[in-house]
Amino acid sequence: MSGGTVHPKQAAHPKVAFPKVELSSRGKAIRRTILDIVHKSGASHIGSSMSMVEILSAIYENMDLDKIRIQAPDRDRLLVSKGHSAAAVYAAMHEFGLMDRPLLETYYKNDSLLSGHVSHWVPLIEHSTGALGHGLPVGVGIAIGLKAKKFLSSRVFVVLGDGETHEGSNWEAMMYAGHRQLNNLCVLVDNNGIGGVGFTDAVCNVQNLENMIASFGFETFSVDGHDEEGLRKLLEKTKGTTSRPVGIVCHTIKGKGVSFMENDGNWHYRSPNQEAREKALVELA
Amino acid sequence: MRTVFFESLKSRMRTDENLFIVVADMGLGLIEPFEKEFPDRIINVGIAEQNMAGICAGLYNAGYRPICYTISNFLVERCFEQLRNDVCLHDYPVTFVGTSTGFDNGGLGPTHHIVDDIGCVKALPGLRIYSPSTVTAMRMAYDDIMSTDQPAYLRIGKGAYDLKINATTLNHFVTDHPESDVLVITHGNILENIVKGLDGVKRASVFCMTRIKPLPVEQVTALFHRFKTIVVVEDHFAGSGLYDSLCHFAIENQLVQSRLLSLAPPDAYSDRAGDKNYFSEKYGLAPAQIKKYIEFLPPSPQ
Repeated sequence: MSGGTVHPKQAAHPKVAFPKVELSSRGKAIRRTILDIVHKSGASHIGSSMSMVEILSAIYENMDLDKIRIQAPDRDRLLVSKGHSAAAVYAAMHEFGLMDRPLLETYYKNDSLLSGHVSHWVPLIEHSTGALGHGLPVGVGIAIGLKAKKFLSSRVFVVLGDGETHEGSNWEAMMYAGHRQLNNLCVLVDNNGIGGVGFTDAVCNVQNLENMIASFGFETFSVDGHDEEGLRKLLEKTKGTTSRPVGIVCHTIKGKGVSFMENDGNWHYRSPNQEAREKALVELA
Repeated sequence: MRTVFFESLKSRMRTDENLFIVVADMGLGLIEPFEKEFPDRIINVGIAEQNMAGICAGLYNAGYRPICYTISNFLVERCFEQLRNDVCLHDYPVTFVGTSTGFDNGGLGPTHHIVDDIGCVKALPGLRIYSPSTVTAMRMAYDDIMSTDQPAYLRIGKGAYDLKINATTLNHFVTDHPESDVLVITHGNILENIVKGLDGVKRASVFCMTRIKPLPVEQVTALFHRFKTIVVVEDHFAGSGLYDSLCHFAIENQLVQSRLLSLAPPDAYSDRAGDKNYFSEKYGLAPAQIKKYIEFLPPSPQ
């Protein structure tokens, strides 16, 4: 795959056309933080982080953060199964007051708790992820446990990558979540269309993700993954109003917000140098 | 042994409302009473071991102490990465209870021979490994598991072999002859063959290492000081089983003056069907073969 080009299969992707939504000031702020910590540490996965900013914002908006701060047993849970987007998670936590700046600044540095993949050793993180296909089974377990404990208003949010849906464990978990009608489980797929080596659909086609998830008994939605307000409203709307688990395919753009990173798979691994950082900052001002 | 385990689990669940059973479509005739008595604390996830292990991690996050159950090798090998990342990395006290060990399922073929499971999981930090040989030891093993807050793997063989011994420690002597110069250390179901074979043989004492990890350091050190010939008999590959652990232990603790020998299946998967006795005979683990092996050992080094 060459940088910036669109694979023929990608071009043929019958994506829903969403009206263009301007990035919010919060969306830009989180992206500036991601850019900052990834640049300073020479870390990778900036493209995967930029694509899921609005997904994280909408989820954090939706959760009772006070319960998370005190780790209340009936708190909502967020599991970011695409753990390589740790920079986005930590930047969003900082934005929502769940991580202080000094800790954030240690990202990916020697002796830091903040590795390049999401870690439970970081305060207020539910579960370590990194190997793909792990978050959803754990989320299903939490959802079952919360129901058994009669914490009926608590929800479990699990964020997957579209490439990650190649892992079979996700489908074991979805099959069981649908079977048990876990309506306290909400799975959001950051469908940015690009994996580690190429366009996801060219590697192994998941164009039909909405129908695939729906076929396992989920109430499924297809949305613009960069429309934070729309996502937030959808999460509110689906709370306690359905008898099925919720699946939201969030159509996103890898590297969203920085024109020269957008839809370019090279930014899966590449770290922005000083010049790239300055150019990106202009766009995120 | 399975029946006894589930009976004892039922008693515990009556007093500990945080215990939660997860099975992967296994346990016919065992789990039905739990579904009646504890409908909110037992689930059957189907034949989906990765999901099973991940769900257990999630249940702990939600406040439960999960016990998950299926055939030993599917339990820990199919979902090895879930054990590693979702359970052991988080140090969650999930109890993995595996049914069948060694050649319990010999006739079902090599996919069902449970001869390498210990080797797989002993790489995982913090995971406690138990391979009881008797019903009594199995009860003690589960007590030991519940006395800690760590992940554990309890492998229980078919049958309900038991001995009337006055064991007070989890790892214990089955026979202890003052005049013996050879110690047989074992774990799991093969003890039955050892006891039959060595009946009346005063040359060897027999010790059950119910807990394979962590090894009881003082107790094992004392065994090495007392016996200059130790034979590890196990129906598991020696290269990744208890023999391997004891070799490592002996070198690490400068106890190499003892002769440490192994009686175990060869490091290969079998292409033949056969019952447990067939495989015991084939690999020199039948009672008479064990007796002959011990009797023909040269004198221990002084």
